[in-house]
Amino acid sequence: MRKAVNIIYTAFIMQWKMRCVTPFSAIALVLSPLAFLLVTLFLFKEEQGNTGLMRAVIGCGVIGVWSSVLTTSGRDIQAERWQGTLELIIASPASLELSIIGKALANSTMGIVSVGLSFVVTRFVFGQSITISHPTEFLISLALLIWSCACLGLVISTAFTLSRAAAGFGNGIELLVYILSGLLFPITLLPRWLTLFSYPLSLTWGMQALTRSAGVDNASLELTRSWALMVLLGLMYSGLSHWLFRVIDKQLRSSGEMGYQ
Amino acid sequence: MIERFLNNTRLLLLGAFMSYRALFAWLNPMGYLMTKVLAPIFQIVIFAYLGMSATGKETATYYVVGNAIQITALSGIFGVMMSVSNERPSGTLGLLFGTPANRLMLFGGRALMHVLDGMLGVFLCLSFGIIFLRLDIGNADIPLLILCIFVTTFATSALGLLLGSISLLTRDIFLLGNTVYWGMTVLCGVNFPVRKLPMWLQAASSGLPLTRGIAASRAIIAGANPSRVLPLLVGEVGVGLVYFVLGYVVFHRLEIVAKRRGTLELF
Repeated sequence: MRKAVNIIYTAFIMQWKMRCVTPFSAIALVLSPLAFLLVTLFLFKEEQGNTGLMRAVIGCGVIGVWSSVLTTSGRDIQAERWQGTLELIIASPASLELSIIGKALANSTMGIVSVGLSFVVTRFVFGQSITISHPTEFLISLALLIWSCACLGLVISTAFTLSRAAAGFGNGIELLVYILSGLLFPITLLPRWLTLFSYPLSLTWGMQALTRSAGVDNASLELTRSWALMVLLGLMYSGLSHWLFRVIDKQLRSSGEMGYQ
Repeated sequence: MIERFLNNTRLLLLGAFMSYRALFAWLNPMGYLMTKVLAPIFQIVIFAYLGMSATGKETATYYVVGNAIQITALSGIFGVMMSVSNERPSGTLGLLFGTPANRLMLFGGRALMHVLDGMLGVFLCLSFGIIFLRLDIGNADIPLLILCIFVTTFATSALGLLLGSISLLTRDIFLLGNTVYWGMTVLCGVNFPVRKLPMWLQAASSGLPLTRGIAASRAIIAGANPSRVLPLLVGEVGVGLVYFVLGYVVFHRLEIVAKRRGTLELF
């Protein structure tokens, strides 16, 4: 157990260090969330205290979490392949899965940068008041959202490695998830059939929990139910990714095409 | 004289086609579908719903038109940048600089296919808006709208040529491309009127492609008189020409410096 924690921790720290010097991080964590935030703030410029504004401000922060997970976790195993380190990891006693778990947690927690940026710009650049009604609940919701996103990142990482076609989905699904999860507007505005695709996404319940704990959206589910659904989905993503890691491991060893690009 | 003209035309067209095929990284079925078809549609949906929740359901047209025209930047910025800057990682920049071919044709050709591709993207997005978001183009002067889309795509691609030239100096073109792409989303009146920006940002906005093109498109779709729209289109062409010339000057200058220092493809 201690060994596993050590591997996850080392991968986590390494990923943070590497991502801090990668220009791509700036796109996912700063540029794209900031653009959405600025558009939102100019759209709602004259409307102090509007609930739509507050939801969108929180959503712009969450955009960073999701973008970070999608753009980086999706390429984590491939990156090892490109760097020629995949063979070494597979051959080492430390499992690939633990290493990628550490990286996925790093990718997800880096999203905190976007959440912080979102609040700072809204409060200090645009002078909009920000009130979080239940700060403790908000932080718990954010922590659960980040954890469940990391689990989702594991599924993405494995799926993108197994299928080149799946990897091609990356650019398209980024914005689709903004829509389905209600990051910038409530999913109740969407056609009913479309919301069916929102429910398996932990981001949907994370946004509900965040807006509810911020006092923005009293119509959403009770906090505890949103939290429970995030935990449940996170566990399901973990189970699925664990199985996919076993498939990858078997394929890599049997095909002998580990470093094949 | 005629032979030279024919040779340059061949170079322009062949260069346009070959650079589009070889250097445009999204030119595969899945990449194109996701990046050039679905992502723009999702962008329209996001901003249309966000905008409607801020300013009311009746304002959907404003967001659909703004974002549909802004999609020209996807081809104009990223596509053109790739077609210029990918020469270096492909190892062909030295060969390109070594040929006696007309540089203006070589350079201009990089944008040609992306202008057409960008226009196709706008038509697709407007069609989506008409079918799903009740965009009404019944009052629009269609030939003028097509001209406006062409002019806007040209101006955006000209900025892409400048960025492509600059990106020959950098390792990461996507940071530069994304900065400009998202910057234009905020500054060019895509989702809110430019007058909402601080004065200094309004000045920046007036120096960018898209600003006049989007304003002109909205006016055309609202049924405005061509005489009201033409000054905007002339302004957009002017902005495009400035960026094109700047891009060519930077490209030419880089070639001279690279040859003098012998650092053609060094990163």
